[in-house]
Amino acid sequence: MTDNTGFVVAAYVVTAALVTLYTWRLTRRLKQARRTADHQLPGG
Amino acid sequence: MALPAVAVGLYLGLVWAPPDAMMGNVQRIMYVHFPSWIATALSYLTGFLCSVLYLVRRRPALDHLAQAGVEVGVLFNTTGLITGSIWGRPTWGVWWTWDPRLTTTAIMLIIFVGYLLVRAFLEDPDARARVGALVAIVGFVTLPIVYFSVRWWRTLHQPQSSPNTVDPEMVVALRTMMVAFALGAAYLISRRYELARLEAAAEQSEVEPGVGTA
Repeated sequence: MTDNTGFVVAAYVVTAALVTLYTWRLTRRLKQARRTADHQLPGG
Repeated sequence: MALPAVAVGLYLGLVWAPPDAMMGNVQRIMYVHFPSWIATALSYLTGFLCSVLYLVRRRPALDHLAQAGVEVGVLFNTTGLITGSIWGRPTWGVWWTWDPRLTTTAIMLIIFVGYLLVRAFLEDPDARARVGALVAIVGFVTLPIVYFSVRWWRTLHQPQSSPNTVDPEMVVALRTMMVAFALGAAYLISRRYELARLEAAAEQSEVEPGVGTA
């Protein structure tokens, strides 16, 4: 049984990085869309 | 709720559960690999059901939810494929092989990426929703093929394990991470749905000035 810790770390880091990046971009786009919607409201 | 569940799942999977007798610590990749597929299946199922319902009822909200489900599904489909590849290198000796499970999973990802591209290229919202719904339905047909591929063609990828054949601590860790990923996917779908709804309202107001989101 060899030490494959590096592969385990890589799998967890890649998963965390992709999910975090997607969540961060989604949050940013959502904030922008809410701001745009607020400006479009009558009297906004 | 998803974040505490992930924290508990990480502790259970990386510290509490024992290493596998054959594979050692590399088996711990299972605690992110398999939950990725649970999140993928739930997200694509959302995309599929909402696409079918959209074609029947033609409600824009169903199209927005389908779009959200597919996009989040593509995210977890990608993490599932990458973690599988990382697991494959030390256990199979290769990063990638044209095994039926891997191949059908890659085809599924390509179809759903195609869904996102089709939506990006079509300008008419109605055509975008109709064509998108058809692609999502076709794409979802690959999901049962992916699931049964390890039974129909017995090759390199192992078939589904039974909880009765693995250590109970591994089962607890795996189920915790499955719940965490399912909650995470549900949260991301709800946020992406809201974004799709706001984008559609903004698009509508560009076509018909004076139409707001209220």
